[in-house]
Amino acid sequence: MSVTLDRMTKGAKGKVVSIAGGRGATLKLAAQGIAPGMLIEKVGHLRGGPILVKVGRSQVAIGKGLASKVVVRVIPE
Amino acid sequence: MKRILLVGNPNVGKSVIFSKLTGVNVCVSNYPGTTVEFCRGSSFVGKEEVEIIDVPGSYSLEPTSKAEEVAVEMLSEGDVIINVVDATNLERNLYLTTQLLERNIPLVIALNIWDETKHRGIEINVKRLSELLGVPVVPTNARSGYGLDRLMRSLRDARTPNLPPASVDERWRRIGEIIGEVQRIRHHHHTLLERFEDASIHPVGGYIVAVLIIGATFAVIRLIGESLIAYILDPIFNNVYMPFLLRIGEKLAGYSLLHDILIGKLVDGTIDFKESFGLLSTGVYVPIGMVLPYVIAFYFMLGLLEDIGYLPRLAVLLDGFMHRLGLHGYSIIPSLLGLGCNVPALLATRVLESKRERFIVATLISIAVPCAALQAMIVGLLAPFGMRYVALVYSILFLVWMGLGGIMRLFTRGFIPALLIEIPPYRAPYMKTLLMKFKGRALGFLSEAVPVVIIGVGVVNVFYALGILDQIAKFTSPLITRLLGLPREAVLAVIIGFLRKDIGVGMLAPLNMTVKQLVVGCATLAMFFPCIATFVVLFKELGFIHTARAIAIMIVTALLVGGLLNAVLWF
Repeated sequence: MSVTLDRMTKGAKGKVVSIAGGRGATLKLAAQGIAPGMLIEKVGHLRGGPILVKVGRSQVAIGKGLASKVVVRVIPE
Repeated sequence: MKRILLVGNPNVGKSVIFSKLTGVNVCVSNYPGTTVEFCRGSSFVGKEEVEIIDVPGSYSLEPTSKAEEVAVEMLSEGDVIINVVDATNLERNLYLTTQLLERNIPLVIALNIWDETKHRGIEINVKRLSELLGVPVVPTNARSGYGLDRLMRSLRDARTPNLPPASVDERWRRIGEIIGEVQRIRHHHHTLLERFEDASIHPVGGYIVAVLIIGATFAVIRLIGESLIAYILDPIFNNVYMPFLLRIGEKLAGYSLLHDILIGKLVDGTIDFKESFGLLSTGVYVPIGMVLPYVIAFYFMLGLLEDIGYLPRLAVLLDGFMHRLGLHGYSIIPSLLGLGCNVPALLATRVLESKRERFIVATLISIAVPCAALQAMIVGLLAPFGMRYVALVYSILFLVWMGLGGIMRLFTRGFIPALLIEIPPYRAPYMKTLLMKFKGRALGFLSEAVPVVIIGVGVVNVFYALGILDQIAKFTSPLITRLLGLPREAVLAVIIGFLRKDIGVGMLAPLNMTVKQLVVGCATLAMFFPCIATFVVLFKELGFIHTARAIAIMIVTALLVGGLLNAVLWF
């Protein structure tokens, strides 16, 4: 099942499928390890604000708009 | 002389390595921006002297901010690169490494923060990593100095593997393969620190932690500032400096003009440091005796929060709220810096991506974020009447900051760039670099503020002696007395406030105003024209048209809010 990062449930893990954004967004995300093929885990969601994800060993906060461009295939538990 | 570049992600200890290698003391900081102005020093490889440059931290060679653009530009000027890599977060760090390896510059890798890997259950096969990347890899611990000699010796073996340019996906695939081969992670229990890391970014707990941390920070700033004044500065000024000034005063007895300019007016037969208004009395006491202690306290605490790694968390927590002001969470960092001094705050807006955002943040800072000097004077003036009046002025400024942000968001075109930041792990601050950064900021304050305060006091006294001030006061009195309800002499405070806000506010002291007038005066002065140093930087950062717009907004806001306060305050 593929969802965008902002709609993923908290605690779920998945593999990034694609970035539905322009070149700038793609490169910025890639530099933080959010690129097609990468494993990520959604660890939190702040009210009205950013989404927290774990990529490898780092934690990254992504604004809601940008998170809606990241398509993730959720790995069932 | 060969030029060696230190290149790496933010927060990997690059600046600590730099200061250890060169002995030059620079800033280490947990957020990109303070090292936009890069640092340069020299060191030895064997007997050969080399130049070492600390390149601003960057996550990739495709720049997304001004700071990262600088980093990329500087690459072409180096002979050898030391790529500083965080061993506890190898995978993310290797993204920049793979890009560097596509360049035609010899490279070695410093695998820094090596001791932490053991606590975090990480094992890295250094030899294999070096083989796979085709360059020397040296484990280091910058803080203890471990591995730095070996790192310098390895420079002779620096290589250029000349990887073919790859796409984003290919790069990450390759990194995945490397990590799979060289890194093993053992399970380990969450440490107390890691639990606190999670709590401080929790959707509910995070806000509680933020309130506690900010509250504690300001309490400590007040405690340090007040203690410095009570136990060190006031005794020096009263017991040492006062007798010295009185003796000078006696010698000047026959020359009343000179006495007025240097010592000022006597209050009850003696010198009053706050009200006498002479070059040597008030001109020296305000910057050193009243403002410096709080500047010291503020920069020390801010440096601590920076180095621990708390500020990015605050930016994330406040992202939703800041969107209402047309900004994203990151802009809270320059705004916080503004509470120390508006000048570095405006410079720090460079890390923001869009022009619109820079304009909004810069305008808000110069109108509604009072610098430490201004705050010290507001507290000094209003606290004797009760802390609730100080709180009132702060609340007014905070409401203006919010309201004006909301209005500017509606009337400026553009979108709010998306937030994307790393949340670094908490690290114990490294005292040596923390103190050096703090020393630089405090000395910067002294060398910038003291001369301007003295010049400002001098200008006031000369104007006063020539009767110019009376003319100006007469001319502007309708605005000042009717709209703001202040005595007409208060206009001088507004004019001098352009030189420095703290003397401007200080000039309100001898006017015998009521509490209400003081509140209106302090709030209006805080919002009115920025001091001249801020003005110059504003102009440089925004250009003519946007500065003119910011100034127009400033004047309208100050008069509107000041007039409104005069009309509605009831005490």
